[in-house]
Amino acid sequence: MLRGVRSDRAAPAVFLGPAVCTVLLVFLLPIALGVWTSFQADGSTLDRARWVGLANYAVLFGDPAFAHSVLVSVVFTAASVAGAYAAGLIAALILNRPFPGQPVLSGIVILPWAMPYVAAAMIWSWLFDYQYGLFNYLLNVMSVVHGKVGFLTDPHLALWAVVTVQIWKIFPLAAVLLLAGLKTIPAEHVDAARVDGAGGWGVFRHVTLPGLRPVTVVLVLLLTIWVFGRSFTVIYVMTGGGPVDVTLNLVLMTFQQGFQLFHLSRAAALGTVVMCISAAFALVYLRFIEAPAV
Amino acid sequence: MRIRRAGRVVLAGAGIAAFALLVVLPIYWMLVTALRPDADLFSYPPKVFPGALDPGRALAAFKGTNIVTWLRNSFAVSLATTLVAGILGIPAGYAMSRFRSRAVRTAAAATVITQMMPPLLLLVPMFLVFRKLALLDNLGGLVIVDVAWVLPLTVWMMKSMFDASPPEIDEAAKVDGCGPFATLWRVVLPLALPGLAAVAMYAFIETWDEFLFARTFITSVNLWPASVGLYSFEGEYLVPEQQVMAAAILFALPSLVLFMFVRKAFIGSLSAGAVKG
Repeated sequence: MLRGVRSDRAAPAVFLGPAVCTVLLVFLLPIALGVWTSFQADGSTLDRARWVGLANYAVLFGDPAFAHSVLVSVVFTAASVAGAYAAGLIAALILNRPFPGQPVLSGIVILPWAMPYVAAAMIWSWLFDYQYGLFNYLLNVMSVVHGKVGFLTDPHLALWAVVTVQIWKIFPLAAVLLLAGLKTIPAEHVDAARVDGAGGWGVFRHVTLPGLRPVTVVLVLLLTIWVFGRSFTVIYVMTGGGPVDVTLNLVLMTFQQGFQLFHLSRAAALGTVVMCISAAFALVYLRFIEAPAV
Repeated sequence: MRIRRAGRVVLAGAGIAAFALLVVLPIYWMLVTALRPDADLFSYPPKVFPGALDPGRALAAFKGTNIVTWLRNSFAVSLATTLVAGILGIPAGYAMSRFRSRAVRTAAAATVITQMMPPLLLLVPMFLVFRKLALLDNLGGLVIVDVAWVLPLTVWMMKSMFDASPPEIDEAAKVDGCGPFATLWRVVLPLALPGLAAVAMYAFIETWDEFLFARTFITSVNLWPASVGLYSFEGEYLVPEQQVMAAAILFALPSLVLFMFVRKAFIGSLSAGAVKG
């Protein structure tokens, strides 16, 4: 393309320079500063730091609340990703065939994705409301339960309530990618399976699912990275991490340690742990996508 | 045989309808709640199909709450972030799309990894820096972290937009005597503009929806963006629920509208990697 342009060697540097410098200055440098802070005593400032080595990590790893938070993160992420994948697959299979109302449905499926997180969490809180919520009413009408259910206040239910909202928010992404994946499965393969006597289920198991494998790997990794590292708003708005910390994932715990209890260095250590886990997933992900350079 | 077939069609239709209903239910409930008369708001059982609709309470949100101020703050922060990310991101995305040197490829790989990192990592260090520079509780400070957070994704999406425009255009421009800057500015940019606009809109939506930084760094009520302002209604019963839902609708509307334009750009840049992989 432009490889042969001799007089313009400086062009890439000029084009890339501003963005690269900005990312270094406001992203990578702060991340390094965060790691550095995690080795300082709580109450340290940029001018007055007190090196404590791994003490913050020692406190963290000795704290049962940390182990619990890791568990919450793992369960929340696994359930949300699995749920979003399942819902997305159903939507994609529905949308893959033309039927009356198909364009309407494909518009509807995108809606949760476009809905801002805070707005979504507020609406769902109202639906889950103990006193006046629609869900309590519907479940009673359908005789699933008798009496009121505290979706957001019952320690056995709160995590599943926030998982539901997270699934609702992100399944459109799964639907869109899986639909794109379905379009890449050649119709001849389906026909061949039918000729061999496969029914609907057989085609799904032996043609559709294997055909979706490449998309599935990338999608699941992507969703896992996002849900694990970024799930804050839904939980914070709906339960604040409660009741009795059952929804306190690592992201909320970091926020709580840093900005509600003011253990900034401990929060930095937590952030560093989250970063290492995210980086591990990101490296796996990079191996699977059309790698730009690595 | 024909009856069984008809039965299956009806069953499939019912299943599809149920699925669609589950997806839109929260949005329907938001609209219905915003328009309820006071008498119906706390009725139990709740009126699934509202009899009377009364927009009075919802419209009172304009005067009864700070939502207009908060939306203005959100708009200012999102617009500034989008402009900065766009100005930095367009040449960077172009360079990653067209140049193949080792440095460029390294920058591209770094962009992808950076984009995977959770924004949470910036929380503590940015707090320390902002405290030092007196940028806490300052919308300018919020723009800085928001730029940090949307820039890598913006650059990456811009790259895929430029990838979609044929390199022959560049060649033609070069033959006509354009340098790399004129090629980008006068020839490629105008052609790629619709895609780039979609990317900019995506940056706008991401910033508009941002909550974690805003909640942590902005403490003054009159400086809150709408995401934090809306959250302040949660769990307090002073503001009528119709106004809360009306505020939520106002807050969601720009996202919903812009998303229609953004959808294709976002899906394109995502599935390019995912589907081929």
